[in-house]
Amino acid sequence: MIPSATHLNKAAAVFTGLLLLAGCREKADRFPEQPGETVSYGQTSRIRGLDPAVSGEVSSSLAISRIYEGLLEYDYLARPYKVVPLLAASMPEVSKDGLTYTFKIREGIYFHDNPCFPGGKGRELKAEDFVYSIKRVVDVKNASSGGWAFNGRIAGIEAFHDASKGEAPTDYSLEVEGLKALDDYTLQIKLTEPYPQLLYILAMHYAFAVPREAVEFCGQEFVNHPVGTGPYELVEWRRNSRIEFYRSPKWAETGRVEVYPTSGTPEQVAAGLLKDAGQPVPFNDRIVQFVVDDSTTSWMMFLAGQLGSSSISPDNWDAVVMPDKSLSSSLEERDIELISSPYTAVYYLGFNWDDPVVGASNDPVQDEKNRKLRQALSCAYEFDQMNQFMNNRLYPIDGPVPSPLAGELTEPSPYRFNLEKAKRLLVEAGYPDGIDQSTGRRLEINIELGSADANTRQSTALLAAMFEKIGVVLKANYNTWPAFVEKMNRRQAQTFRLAWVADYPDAENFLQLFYSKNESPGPNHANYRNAEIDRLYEKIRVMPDSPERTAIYEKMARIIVEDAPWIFQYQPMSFAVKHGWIENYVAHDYPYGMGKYHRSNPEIKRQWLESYGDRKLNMTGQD
Amino acid sequence: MLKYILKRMVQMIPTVVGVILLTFILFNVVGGDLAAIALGKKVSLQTLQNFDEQRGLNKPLFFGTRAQTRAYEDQDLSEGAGRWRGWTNAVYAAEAGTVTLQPGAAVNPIAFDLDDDEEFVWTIRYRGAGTLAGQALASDDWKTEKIRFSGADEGGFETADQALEFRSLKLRRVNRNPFDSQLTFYIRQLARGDLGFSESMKQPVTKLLKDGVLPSLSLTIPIFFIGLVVSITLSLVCAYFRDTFIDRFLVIFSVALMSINYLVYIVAGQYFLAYKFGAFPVWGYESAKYLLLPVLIGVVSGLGSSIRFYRTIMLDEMYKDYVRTAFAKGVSKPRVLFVHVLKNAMIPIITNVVIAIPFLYTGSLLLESFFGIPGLGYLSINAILSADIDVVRAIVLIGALLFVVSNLLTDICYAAADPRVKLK
Repeated sequence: MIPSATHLNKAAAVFTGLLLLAGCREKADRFPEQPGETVSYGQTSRIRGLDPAVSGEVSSSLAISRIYEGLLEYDYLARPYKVVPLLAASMPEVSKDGLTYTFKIREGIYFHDNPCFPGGKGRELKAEDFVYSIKRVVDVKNASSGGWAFNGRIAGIEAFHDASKGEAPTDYSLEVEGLKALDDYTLQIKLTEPYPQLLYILAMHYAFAVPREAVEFCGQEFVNHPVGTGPYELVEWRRNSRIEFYRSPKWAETGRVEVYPTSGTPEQVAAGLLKDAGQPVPFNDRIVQFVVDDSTTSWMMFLAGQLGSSSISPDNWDAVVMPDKSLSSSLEERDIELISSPYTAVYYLGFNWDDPVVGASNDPVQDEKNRKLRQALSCAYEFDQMNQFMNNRLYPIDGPVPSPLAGELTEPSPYRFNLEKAKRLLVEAGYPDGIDQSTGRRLEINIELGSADANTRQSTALLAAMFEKIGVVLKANYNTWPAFVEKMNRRQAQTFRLAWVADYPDAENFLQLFYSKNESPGPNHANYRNAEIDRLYEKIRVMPDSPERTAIYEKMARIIVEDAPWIFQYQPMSFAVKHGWIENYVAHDYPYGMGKYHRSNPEIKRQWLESYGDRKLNMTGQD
Repeated sequence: MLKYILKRMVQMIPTVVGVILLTFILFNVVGGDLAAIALGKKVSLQTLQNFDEQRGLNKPLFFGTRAQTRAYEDQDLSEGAGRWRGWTNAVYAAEAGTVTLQPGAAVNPIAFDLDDDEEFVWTIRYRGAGTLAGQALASDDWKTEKIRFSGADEGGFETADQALEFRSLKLRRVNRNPFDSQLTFYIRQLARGDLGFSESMKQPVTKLLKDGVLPSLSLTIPIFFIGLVVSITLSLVCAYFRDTFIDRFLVIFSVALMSINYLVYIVAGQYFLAYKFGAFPVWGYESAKYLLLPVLIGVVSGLGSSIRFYRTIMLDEMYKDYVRTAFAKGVSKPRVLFVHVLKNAMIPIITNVVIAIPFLYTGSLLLESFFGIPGLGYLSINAILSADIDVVRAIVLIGALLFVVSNLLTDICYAAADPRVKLK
């Protein structure tokens, strides 16, 4: 998943109440005026829509997963991450050849009450709902960003994709061979080739259950009027401002009970994360999320106790977090806690394989020289400086697979920062001291960037200074995000900076970025091409988890490090602060649907507001 | 009067057509690749093409019988091998900027199966011999040829015992009706009253505008009227106390107000008035209370320039003969200012005021984003940043139309304010 600039900011919280339920076209008061417990989160990126099939990015996914559910979900506490059944009664039965997945679906799961159903009463969930929901993702008319998850993987789904083109309404009765409801509670998925990552895909919002009645009832408005089976219902959504959810009465009505996980690591027990083990979730009645665009504003709201948690603005970092990564004392006194965790993502500088200078060449001599140039630039990249610039919030990374995934390289990369080696490699590449021998001028490399904000500019200037040390000039072009995407899709970027955030916890998700058939406009934006990598990738793509597969992952990672199609810049840490009244809070790389486990303790919050509510700190969190 | 208004309305038609054309050209020619933005990170060319077809983006821009297709995108071979790198039996020569297909090769550069019902045209500049889309090519010298074939046919290259070298290659879809273009698609859409569909929000644009206009107006209309009343009053005070301490003080005060950056007002207002003293909510759009601070900031920040502007107008009038006559008649100073001068200063005031009306609807970008008011300013900046063409186009179009209408309104107001102005 490519994060856009704002996605890295995390959540924050407040509370207020306004009670309007948007049905499809009418409004109704269905939720109690006086909420028991209320929690609210703010975040700095905008929710774009609430339709699981079409709405793509992080903040939308978070909102969607409060309302909708899928067959599987991530375990809240288990690390390494794993998926567990949610709407499925158990993990699926997988055929010997790895092609057929049979899911038993839980009985007694109901959709929320909504005027789209006969009599306004939510009906029971059926296997057919999953068939319908997945078909919606590949419907051309929906222009979903999730087509990749199913296209070419589920047998016969292409025929449905093609048939959905044109003016006529899509015919959902068209059968897809690989997607069948055998009976009301049995779903069968047949694949074209083994795809062990399917289980992770089914935990993503693209595979969440959507009732056909609601889509047909609301039409284009469906994106604003979600109807799911999840713990919360939408109360009101004011685009670009706030969104409010309330505990769905349907769970209590139909006797559905979900509980907090009962096992965790000793550290998690010590951190008090298992206090609520076995208790029914969700704990909070009301959730309010705000779209706070400006980090200074959200920080003030957090200090005043209006938000339960907040990200830390880079400008404030030094004052808030001490060099030993503990919180400043005035914040600590107020029971504010710092939450940090590494984030499964890789930030990289990619070389366009099509480029005659930094890419591949048909001429083997030139090809070797270009490789040396890429290696030289990798050696010129100094992680420590970048880390210092980012307030020590980064982890070094030595290959394409981030920690803690199987396949991560443990030995340091041979192309870590080393100026001597960089200069030597540069000579071998034919650019002694950065002078291009054929023209006599300094070697100039162009880099494309997808944002023009201060942070991007400063870190790019830092990169340029690193390259300057070996005599190479880095020229930066700052683009808007869409213009950047277009340049990459048209393969016009010589080099570019980009990140990949794991879609699921499997190294395959990162190694696919080096598969030649995934070249632009696919996710292999470096357009990297290596027959050996292609062969190995095709092999591991169908392999279930095994030590043998991990060995191949490592082998691939080593080849990629040697070829240096990317400079592996860093893996980020995510940091957030939260107030003491937010309980059961643990950082999760796949936080979708995990909100139901958080608890806001109104008693602690009341006490806090009484003792600190009026005593305002200054912006840096000092008295 | 009515005749005049009708005449002006007719004169507005070419302006409106111009605006429609301009917004179309501005955003469709310069705008980004909508499909790539909507479909996200992992897409195939086939999926992009399907999206284009669905939204009419595969048509020519204005008119024409040829349209581009993603099956083979134009490429300048002198710049690099691009898509031709992967083939083992096609050799790219960088110096010449050509690709040579080896003898006995079968190469199909078309990325996906073409639509069977459509016709396509290859344009190739080549030498050597071989077949392209089933038709023979043979020439010893460089030669340009157009080859028309049906989407149902095999569209690739084959070579027998000779090599085929080419230096440019283009694929076009045959557009059966030359007027079936993106422009006509857009105009037909406007004629239906449909402003398009936002790809990033997955919503009809009309819905987005409807949701955003009220918050915007609830912010800009109070700012507009309060600002107007306060600045005209203060400018009359200036004129009344001309060259005294009060006048000097107000002039210096307005220069100071003008010199401070808008952002400073916002951040200082949020930090001191809202956060430290708790007089207002810091952020949000919950009730009228939440609008007080942004309105206050909006009024204060606009005050400086307005006071100076209106003061100049008032002082200009003060030197006119009728003012002297009025004073000579013994009319009191307040009466001269508030009745005689204000009435005569109406023309420049009207000009200034009515022209500001279209901007009320576009909202205040900074105030909206800092205070979380879900208005149109916020919507437009998001749309621009995410290249959501339909939204930007609609906002610009409506803004331009409002501008044209308020121009007419200004003229009508002139006639109402000044009996010497006759509308013909």
